[in-house]
Amino acid sequence: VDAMISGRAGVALIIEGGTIRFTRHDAKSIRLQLNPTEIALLLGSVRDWEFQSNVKPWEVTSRLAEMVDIEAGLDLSLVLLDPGMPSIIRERAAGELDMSLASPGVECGLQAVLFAKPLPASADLEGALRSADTQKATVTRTMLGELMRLQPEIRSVRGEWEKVPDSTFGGEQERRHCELQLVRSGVFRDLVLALHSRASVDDVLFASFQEPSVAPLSNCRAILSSWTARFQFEAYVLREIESYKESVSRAHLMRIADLASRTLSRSPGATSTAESLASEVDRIIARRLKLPAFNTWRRRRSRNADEPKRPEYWGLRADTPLQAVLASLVADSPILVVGARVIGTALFLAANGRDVQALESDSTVAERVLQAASDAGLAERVTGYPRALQEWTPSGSLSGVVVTYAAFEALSSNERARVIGLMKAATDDGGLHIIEGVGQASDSVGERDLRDGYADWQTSFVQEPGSVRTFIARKTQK
Amino acid sequence: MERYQSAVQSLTERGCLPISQQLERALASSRPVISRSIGEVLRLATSEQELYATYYQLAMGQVRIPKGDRWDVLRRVADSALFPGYASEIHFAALSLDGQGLANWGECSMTLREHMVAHRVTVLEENSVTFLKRHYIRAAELDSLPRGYRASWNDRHHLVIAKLSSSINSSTTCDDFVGLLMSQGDNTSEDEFLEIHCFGPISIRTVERVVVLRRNETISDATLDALREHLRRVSVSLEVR
Repeated sequence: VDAMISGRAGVALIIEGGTIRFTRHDAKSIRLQLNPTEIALLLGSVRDWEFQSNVKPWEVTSRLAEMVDIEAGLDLSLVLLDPGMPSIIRERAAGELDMSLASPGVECGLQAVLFAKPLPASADLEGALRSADTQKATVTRTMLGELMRLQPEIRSVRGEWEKVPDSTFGGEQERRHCELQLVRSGVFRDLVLALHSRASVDDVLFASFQEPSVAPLSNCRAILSSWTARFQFEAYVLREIESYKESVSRAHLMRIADLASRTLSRSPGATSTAESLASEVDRIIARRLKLPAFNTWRRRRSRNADEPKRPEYWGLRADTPLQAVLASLVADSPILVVGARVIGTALFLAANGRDVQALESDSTVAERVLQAASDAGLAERVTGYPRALQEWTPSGSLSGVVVTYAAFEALSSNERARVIGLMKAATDDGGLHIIEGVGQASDSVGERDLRDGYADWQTSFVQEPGSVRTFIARKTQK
Repeated sequence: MERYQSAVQSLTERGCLPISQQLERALASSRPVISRSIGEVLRLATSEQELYATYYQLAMGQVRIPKGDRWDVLRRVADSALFPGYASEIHFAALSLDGQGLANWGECSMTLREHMVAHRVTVLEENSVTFLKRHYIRAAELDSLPRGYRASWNDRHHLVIAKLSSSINSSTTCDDFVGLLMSQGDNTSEDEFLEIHCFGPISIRTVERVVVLRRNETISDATLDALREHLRRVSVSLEVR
């Protein structure tokens, strides 16, 4: 079944076989078909829907219970932090939260929200800790202590988030939607924890790309990259400084420490603690290494990141027709790539933000495609299908197909017509088929075949160097 | 008015006019009641406080149905033409005499302040979808409903008498009024009530009273106490049943 779940409303809509049922968390036996008004009522008033595809009914019930527990935990946390609440209510909240945190998923879900924004000035963390102490609510106290300790990182992660321009999201509403998904899937929390423990930000990003609610977000990579750039820069600087420290002698390091100590003693108001000394040592090393400033580093990184978007990078011609058609693809569905240039074409398309299905009968070549994608950091974009063209069946809709004509020549005319028919049917309206390496002569079998096969699409030929052409067909929008 | 007059005539003939007149008088104190979970009521009650709003807003967004054919059934319903252009501005409520709403939709019943909503509500004889089905009306024809089944707030007593006249008999007493007006089904499709459509925004200041139905132990004591405290500050009473 598919499901929409709201923890705040305590309801789940279960969609199965064209009908929609409704279940409440506190009355599990109520499972009824809903009428459209009731659904409109729910859609209109509830704002925290989580969508789940292809799950078992018991999984929906279980997730609903978990989401309700998380929301109840959030209510209790806020009551506990509210200085305007009478102490007796705050203490009761501390005790109840302690029990609530024992439920599976509650602590994690609560952290996902509480670590996503710094505590406002009106929150009374000290008072909350006192209430937890009074109630001997040790789990609650630990959670509050962590919340207090992590405030600098929470502020930092939130601050960088606010700096990502609205245009990266495609608008303010898109920003809001993206934030909701990232909060709910715990990406804010994971970043905060990674910064605190100096763990890899890349690992957090990689994990977030696997999240079903994050991966489909529009411009997801650019958003996450822009958001985390400062943290990645800081990690880069730290790495460079640590490498330098490991590469020089202890005596050399001691001389730098002496210099740092003298610098600090000359600075009015500076205190010479172990921490400030270590920071000054790092600053001196960074200066000696001529490490770039953040903006310079980001510009360089962006330039390097753009390289794989050029066709020449993958051994394709600069004026490949793929370049021109990329921009005109309308849908987000994957592109099917088949034939001799499968590796270069697949990776070029993936580097330009398209999901690619690479079809290759030779399993060794199929593996090479996936390995190359992995090496280029494009593994999530490329799916490999080690099977022959005539055995291919669509696994969903496609926004385009790129194939070398030679791949068709191995098929009988019946097989060719059947495969082209399947590809056409699977392609979204406005989608493109690009068939490279078609024979030059206007009466060639290839051209006749293609003109007949695509009679109901808009077609054209583009001359390539030498005696071959590329056939481009666009599916007419209905 | 015709349905009302014919109902009054029938009640007179059956000797039930006095009790129906008592019902009409009682209806002066009827109110629109919206049912919600305690979590939603707490969110509404704290929406003007920075601490709560900071975190509650983080988890709230627009409903965005995922792409893909499998969600088409939901998309069709969401795009339903029941209230074209108004869906996000309409709040559904039930007419209640005792502050209790439809429990199948949430354990908390919020009674709306009459003077803040009377000018922007209409009352329909029953659940709108049941009504459309019963009268073979297409959603697109909602603007031209048969006369006599929808009333303004001030005329709601006429609609109630027209609807309930056949249920009023010689054994009916004042104690039956609450149950006549609204009957709680075992599930949402068995609920019997008069449906109220309230146009425009609802905030905690639109609410005069909250009734919490404590059916089981799923509501925490601290949350309930905190809700009571928040409501007290905005002069909204809370009753636990």
